Amino acid sequence: MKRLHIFLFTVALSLMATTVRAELTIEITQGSDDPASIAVVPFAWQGSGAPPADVAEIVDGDLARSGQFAPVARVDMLGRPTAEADVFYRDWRAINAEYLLIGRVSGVNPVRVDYELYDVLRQTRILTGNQSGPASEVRMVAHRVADAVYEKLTGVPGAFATKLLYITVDRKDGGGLSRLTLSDSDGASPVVLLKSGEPLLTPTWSPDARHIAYVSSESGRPAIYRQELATGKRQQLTNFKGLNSSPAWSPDGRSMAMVLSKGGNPDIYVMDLASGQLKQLTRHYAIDTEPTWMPDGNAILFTSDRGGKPQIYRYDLRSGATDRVTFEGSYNARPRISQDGRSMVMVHRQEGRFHIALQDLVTNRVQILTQTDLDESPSIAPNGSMVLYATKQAGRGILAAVAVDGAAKFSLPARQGDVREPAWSPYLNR
Amino acid sequence: MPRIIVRPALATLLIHGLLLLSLTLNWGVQDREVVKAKPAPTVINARLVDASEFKPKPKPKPVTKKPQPKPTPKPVVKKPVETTKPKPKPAVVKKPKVAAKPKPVPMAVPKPQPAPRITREELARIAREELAATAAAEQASATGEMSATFVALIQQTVINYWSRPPSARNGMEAELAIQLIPTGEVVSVTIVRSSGNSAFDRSAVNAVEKAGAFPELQTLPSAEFERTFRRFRLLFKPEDLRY
Repeated sequence: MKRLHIFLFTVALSLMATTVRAELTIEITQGSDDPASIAVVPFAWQGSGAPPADVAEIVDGDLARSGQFAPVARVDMLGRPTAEADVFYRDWRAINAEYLLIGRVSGVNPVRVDYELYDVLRQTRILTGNQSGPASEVRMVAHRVADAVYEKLTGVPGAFATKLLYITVDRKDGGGLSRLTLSDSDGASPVVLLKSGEPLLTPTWSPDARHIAYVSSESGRPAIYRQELATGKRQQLTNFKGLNSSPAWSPDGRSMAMVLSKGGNPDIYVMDLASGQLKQLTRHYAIDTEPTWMPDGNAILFTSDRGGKPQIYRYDLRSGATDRVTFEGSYNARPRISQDGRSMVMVHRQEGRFHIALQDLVTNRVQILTQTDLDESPSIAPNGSMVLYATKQAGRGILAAVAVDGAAKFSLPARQGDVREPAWSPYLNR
Repeated sequence: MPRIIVRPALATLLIHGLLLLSLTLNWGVQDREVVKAKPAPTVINARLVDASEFKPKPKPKPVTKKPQPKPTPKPVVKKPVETTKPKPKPAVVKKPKVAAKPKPVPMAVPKPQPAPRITREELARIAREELAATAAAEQASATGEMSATFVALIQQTVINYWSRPPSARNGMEAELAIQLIPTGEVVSVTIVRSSGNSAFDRSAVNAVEKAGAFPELQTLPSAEFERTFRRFRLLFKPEDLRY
């Protein structure tokens, strides 16, 4: 009886609720997706002498390059608060800043950055944090601040505090010196890891970002090397006759896919890194090359011309079956997959020009991301937001990046010589 | 006793049968029926509640058309006079065309259908009801159409200000309760149903905050403002993202 009463009561309540809720509901199913305006106020320097770096400028630059944010120019700022007590929301609302980031830098070694992020429209502080690191890594500290802000506002982890690997080739005297270079994600702080008079090719990262691998011909023929970043210790992994190329670490870090032509023509192999044992995956008279792993480790994508034209195929490691993945256009090559396994970037030829394109692996829709010609070697940021690639500018090889939605683009600062084959690192320290 | 029940029961059965028949037989002629039967009130109601039905672009057209037939927002006094000739109402004729998609047809068709079989008294009663309904429709459609225009305006404004974060996915839903004051100013934005993604929720709230006000609502009759726009909901539900 009591139950019945309760039941009737809830029915009555819900009926009332439905009548009361006869409120107008307007659905919003589209957006304009303009970049959010954010004011990054110069951080206060609380030490003596010159500040180690303009941290706010680095954060500002990171956020701007992402295409998700439109930073406010410093000259437009009506105030320069560095502590909460000095924040007047109306100053920021007046210049249509949606978010406000302020902070303070203290200490020389280690450097410490304290910061606060405010939602100007709702007049609330939405993030407080700090980052610190050795003075030599002050830029990295700033990138980590940008990462935190980016994640808070976009719901996606930032990938600013990451590294890039790339190869530069001097064109002087025809011969050319190759350099394997490591830099910050914004191209700053480049460090040369290896110099060689012979070609260096296809650098790649281990999933823990502690090791790299690449192809070097220093011994007279191409061989795959592994190098520990912290120590510089190197190990030659292959020295087979013919082609040894395109190393690609498995997601668990235990094995490496590669291309070897010791069987007569290029095929995909997988090496167990602990034992050095090789397993041949593809056996086809066509060229199979450029392997890359699906993030779940269950399949390898590669380029093959077995159908007459270069297209991307998927080799299923469990079943051993091979399926074709790309069907749009007569040239699709050099696949790389986003960490969520959903998006594949590749080199795609359209009307004789080579562009970077993105294929949704669920819908198989292909979207061309770049307008330049001769775009090559796409590499996707660990958070899936940007694609780094090599292209030509005034006849010179440079690095450029484009957002996966095609909205934002930027070029990395030019270096001497031609820049090629960029590889975006995984997240560091994870 | 049983006979008393039987007759009305038969009558209702008959009428329902006729209704069904009319529904199925007259399917092809529907559109014309709607135009004649001017079921304006139901059309308007359907639109108001289901705001998703109309897209931001097509809406502005009705705006230009509507004012011609009825420029005054409260034609309450005049309407009964005009109702003697309910058929030629030009505005009503146009409306169903605009809102051809909602299907208030089942309701519209029944009324004219049973006509041949009913008595004079019933006919008179139906006529009276129709007249009353027409008058109400006139009034409701006037404000209703205005409301629809403002709904579209609010929709478009919010779309213009909505910047989705990269973590937004099609199918996410966040519902906000909005409160306005008669100047059109937004005085309160609260999340009544979160998407589960705080960046997405924030983008929705900020879209409304950036809009800040819908000053055009000042031109709305205050009763209509109170009824529809004092408090309303915004359902943020992206459908045009990559995935």
